[in-house]
Amino acid sequence: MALTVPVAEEANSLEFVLIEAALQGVWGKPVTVTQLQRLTAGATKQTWRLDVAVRGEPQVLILQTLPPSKLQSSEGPQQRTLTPEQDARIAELARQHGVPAPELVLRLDGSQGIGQGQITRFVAGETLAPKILRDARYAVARERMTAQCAQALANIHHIHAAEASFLPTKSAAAQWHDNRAQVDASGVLHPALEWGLRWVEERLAEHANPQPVPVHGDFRLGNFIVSDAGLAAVIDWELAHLGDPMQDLAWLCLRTWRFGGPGEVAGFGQRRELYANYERESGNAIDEKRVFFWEMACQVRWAVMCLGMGLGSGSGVGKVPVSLEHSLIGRRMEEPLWDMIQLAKTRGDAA
Amino acid sequence: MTQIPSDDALLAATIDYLEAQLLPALEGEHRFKTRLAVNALKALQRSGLSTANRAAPKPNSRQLAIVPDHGQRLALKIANREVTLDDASALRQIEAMLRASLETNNPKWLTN
Repeated sequence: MALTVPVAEEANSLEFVLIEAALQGVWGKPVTVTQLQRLTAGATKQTWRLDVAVRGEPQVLILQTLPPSKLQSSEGPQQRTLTPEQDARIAELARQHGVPAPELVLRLDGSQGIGQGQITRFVAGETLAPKILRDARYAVARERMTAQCAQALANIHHIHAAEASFLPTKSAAAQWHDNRAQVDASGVLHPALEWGLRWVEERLAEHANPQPVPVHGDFRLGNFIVSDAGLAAVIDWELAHLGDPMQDLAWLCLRTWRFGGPGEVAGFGQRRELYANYERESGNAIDEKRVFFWEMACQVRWAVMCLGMGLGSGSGVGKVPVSLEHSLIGRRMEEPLWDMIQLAKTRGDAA
Repeated sequence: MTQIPSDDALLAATIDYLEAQLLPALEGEHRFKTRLAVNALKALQRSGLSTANRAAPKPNSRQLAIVPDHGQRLALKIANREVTLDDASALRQIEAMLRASLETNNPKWLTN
């Protein structure tokens, strides 16, 4: 569902004159905003479909802005999500390396007067996982997407770290410390969380990653735009960082991101096909033991994210009520923790 | 069983969405019936809170995470390495806690 917002009613929150001026600065032609439509996607960013006329010729764009309350004060290894500027830079860098991603039109750094974020070309397609997994029109897409995801991941991981040095580095140890700090700050003493944190901690030395590469950090259904032909764009790069490429493969295989679909890979694919294609496209061998470590670490990470949202840390600690969306995500904390225990038992690695 | 956020907080978030965000965008019959839904949920909210208020002081934000005492004790033992990670009894207790929460929040997770 999308809410179409009449231009006049939105004038207070988004200054159309400023949008028109900013785009005119890019194209050097008169631009008129004809419609702004709020899309529901995204728990933090505000995303709008932006219809404009450039010298009378219609164009469809996407405007993403981050509310001031979500902006972080500084960049660096401690930051949890990218600034809008970093987000736009890594998406554009990935696109230049062959990853399907929306073409950047304008990076919004605040100087345009319309907040921080970006304006990109509109990419036609579907983002809702249940439709992608079940609608007949995406049957061909489902057949192709495992290989396409492997290709996209290989391309992301092939970007030289020096080119993406603006990204924070997040080793497994750094992520563990962040999780630990969030749980400690929450005041929650949960045995499954403690079990998972300890399981990961005891394996950190074994899985230190000496050569971090760009990692999407949230590579999954929901962050893909899918057309009838398959993967049309990878979006939502705000968790990108320099880290272990196996993390992206593990995250893609979590049951949470299968949305009830039968395939181990995002509900539509098989792990063997993903691994074989990734190895061929990247030239790097999959380390299945390391993927397993990351699956366990990702289950803990997702549980901690659920905890944070359920308690309201994402929208100001202690604020009650948190949003409905975040409240319901909070209620999902036990899902990854349950999977974590089952995964460890199945693999005989609960010790 | 653990519930994060608490039932009260979840109810408040639902009311907030319906009343502050959805209602202004609706018209006619759906606006009227959504208003009724908000009123119904507020009645449930008052009923629940009044019961809670009689039983205990209103919890602060840190206490919204309700983990049973035995769960907290086990969490401490795990964190302090007083039990091994493959301790069968600890794993059974953890699974029982998780199962109880999932049976309320998403029972399908246990079977699919």
